[in-house]
Amino acid sequence: MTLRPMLFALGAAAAAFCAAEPLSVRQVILEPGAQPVIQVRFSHPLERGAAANLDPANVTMAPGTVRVQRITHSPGRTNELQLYFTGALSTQFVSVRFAQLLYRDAGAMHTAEGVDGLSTESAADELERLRARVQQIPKSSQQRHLSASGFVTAARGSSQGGAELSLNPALSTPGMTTFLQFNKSTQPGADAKHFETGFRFRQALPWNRALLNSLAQARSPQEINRAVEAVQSRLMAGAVVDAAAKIEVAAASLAVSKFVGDVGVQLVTRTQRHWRCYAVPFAIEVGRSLHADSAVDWIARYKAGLGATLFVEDGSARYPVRRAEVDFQGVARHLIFNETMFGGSTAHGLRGYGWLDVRLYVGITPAGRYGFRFSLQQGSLPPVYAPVRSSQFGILFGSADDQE
Amino acid sequence: MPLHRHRRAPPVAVTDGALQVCFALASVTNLVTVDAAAEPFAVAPDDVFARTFDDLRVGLSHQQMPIFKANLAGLLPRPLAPDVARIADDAGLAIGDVADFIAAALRKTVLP
Repeated sequence: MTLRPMLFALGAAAAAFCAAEPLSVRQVILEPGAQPVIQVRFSHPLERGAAANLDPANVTMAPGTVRVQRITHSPGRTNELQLYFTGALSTQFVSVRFAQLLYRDAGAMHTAEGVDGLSTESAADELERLRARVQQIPKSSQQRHLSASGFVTAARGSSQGGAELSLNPALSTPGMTTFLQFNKSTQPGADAKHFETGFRFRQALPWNRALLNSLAQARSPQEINRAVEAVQSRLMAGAVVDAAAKIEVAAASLAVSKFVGDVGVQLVTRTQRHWRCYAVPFAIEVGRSLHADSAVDWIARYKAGLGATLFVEDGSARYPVRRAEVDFQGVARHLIFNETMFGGSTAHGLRGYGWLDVRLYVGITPAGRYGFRFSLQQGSLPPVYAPVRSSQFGILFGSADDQE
Repeated sequence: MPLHRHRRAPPVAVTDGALQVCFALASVTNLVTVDAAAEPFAVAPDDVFARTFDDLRVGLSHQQMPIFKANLAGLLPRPLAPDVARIADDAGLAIGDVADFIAAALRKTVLP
């Protein structure tokens, strides 16, 4: 093959690789009410400044009894248009056709012609589908990091692995969830041997109720904005009362198991520009050992804790680190009665556990974010209070699978 | 003065619930701001419904989710409170999914 056909083939391949994905309609929703509106959601973000996208003459609808009067971008969604229409609509199934739309793909603007959409789902089906989606437990950001990096890190001369899993499937009772927490590591000095599972009831007590009432009762956009401003000037978001019944087991060995009831209050701040925080000033854990031959019978603990997250982001992209996050969580337990310790002895008194996590993101792209992570754990956790003192360093990659 | 001059306008109506979801978010995080005076209302970040609650530009944690839900329930019509309570306390949820769920619940439960 001579040079020219090879270059031509390479160019064609590059063009095919860079070609924009065609724009399509993902969903058409009829929103009833005093001012009915049709929301059309697309596969890609639309070009914000394009007059053609907001031109009612650009759209035809079926049934033909309705006519588009005005089009706006949907607030908070870059890939959605709102169509205000005149005329009576006797069915919830409508179809729309856009003669031309300008949209963005891979950072560039493209034109799509003849884009069709049809509402195909009944209101009841849609509600059930969405209910299942918001009640299921997606991966948290930390779990995304763990699944991506494996948390397999080089730590103090050895390279081994550790994992923390937390599952919270919701039960049908509002506020009630089940949970399973597992903290296990093969790295020497990093294994907390902590495993607990049970169910939890949680009740939130918002602290800005009066301001929210004034927001709900506001009679003009200006009143609303003033109420939002007042809420955003507050430090505290509220309190959360937690009550749980759980079984604590020494992970892997099952040599120690305890049934424990746990009641506590958590104070939660609002997220400020660079930080958020929570504190557990008061919690008690009361229970019994489940081993008949155990030297330990009753269990009673007072618990207090604190957690904080600090974050700084470089919006100008001038520095190599685009975003830095520091997470700290600490808990202290005062054991009122003797409890079984790691190694078989029994003891009471103060036991603490702290965890520091530093994440430095060097790249944040639409495909994901990546960087480095350093974490430090020290202290001990029930049921056996195995001493933990470890540090880990790893590569961090958070996928963007949460994006639409 | 005619009597009707003393009457105040009715509260701003709940339509698809998107505004109320944004208010509830803004009540828990300063990283989300809402301008209700714009038509339609404006929210920053402008693609907030494409993000998750624990997104870097939203900044909610698992601990703040119960407060968000309680605030949201207070801003919506009372019959929706059980639906809001059943939303998972997980900041990994997509905000858009919650907004869609609220809109669908409003369509079915409250709106004509």
